[in-house]
Amino acid sequence: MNLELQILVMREELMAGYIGPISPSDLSDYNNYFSVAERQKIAEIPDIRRQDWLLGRLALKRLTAEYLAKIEAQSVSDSNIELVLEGQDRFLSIAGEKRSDLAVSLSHTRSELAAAVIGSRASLSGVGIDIESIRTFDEAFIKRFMNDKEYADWSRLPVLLQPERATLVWCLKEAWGKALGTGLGINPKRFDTRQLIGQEKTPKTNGKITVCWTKVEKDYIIVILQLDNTHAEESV
Amino acid sequence: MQKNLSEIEEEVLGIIASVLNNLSSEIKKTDSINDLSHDSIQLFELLVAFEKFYAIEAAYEDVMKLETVGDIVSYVQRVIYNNQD
Repeated sequence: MNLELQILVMREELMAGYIGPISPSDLSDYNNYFSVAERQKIAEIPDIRRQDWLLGRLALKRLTAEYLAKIEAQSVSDSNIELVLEGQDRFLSIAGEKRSDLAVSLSHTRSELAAAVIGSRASLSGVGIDIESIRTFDEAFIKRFMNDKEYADWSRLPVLLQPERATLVWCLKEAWGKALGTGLGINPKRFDTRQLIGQEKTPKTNGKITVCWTKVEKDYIIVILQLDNTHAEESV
Repeated sequence: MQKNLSEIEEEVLGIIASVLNNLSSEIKKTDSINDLSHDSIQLFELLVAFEKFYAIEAAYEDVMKLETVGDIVSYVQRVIYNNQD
């Protein structure tokens, strides 16, 4: 079983981790991890999305439990940690208590891996995370999500390095949108990532944005992006 | 060129099926695009496939508001074929 959380970042104000890769049978007995309300929701999720949903929520539960144990010295079981969606509002509920002071984001890919990040809103206004498998994108796809300068940088790279860079740029844009709360509702070309790309596992700060990225399980990229709490509306 | 609604539906379902590796006969107009796709990259691939097929660059923010297969059919009918019926 690969349902154990692998911690990627652990600082006082921020923690991130992932679980996987898994096979479908690893989550066949999911009742242990989810509340009654969540199990009702799970039954309504289309088959194609169920495993991604389970995996993403489980990563978030495991991460939140670690965070609460480390930062707040509280022990909380998986089934008492829920991500609640109420209209546009999205918040963590810990043993029934709404925790708007905690910012969270989660991501999953190919029903195999899921990653999550949690941080205190005392030090940041938003966090976003994205995980994707490194892949070769169609040229039309690249031109549609990169702006002209990003595309120029990308096209100058050796061909062998292009899939990793394209995946990294995609992850940066998606994590940025999540941190802002817009997701990809904003045209990805408007997120200019050129000043955010640094070395793997080395946090890079540009203005009020800090990014860290890493490769896991050989061919997956995870990007964690945080906006400091004075950031608010700017940046896009 | 004008097309009737069933021709447009067939065209749209065919594009969605080819991108998402589904059978077009299994896709319903009421299906959520989010539910049909595995992730955001696949959603974006769908956008690019439609733009290639119709040789357009769609207004991004408008397209991202489309939620169901039926919404896409209506969008194509209205924007591509300029057909309101």
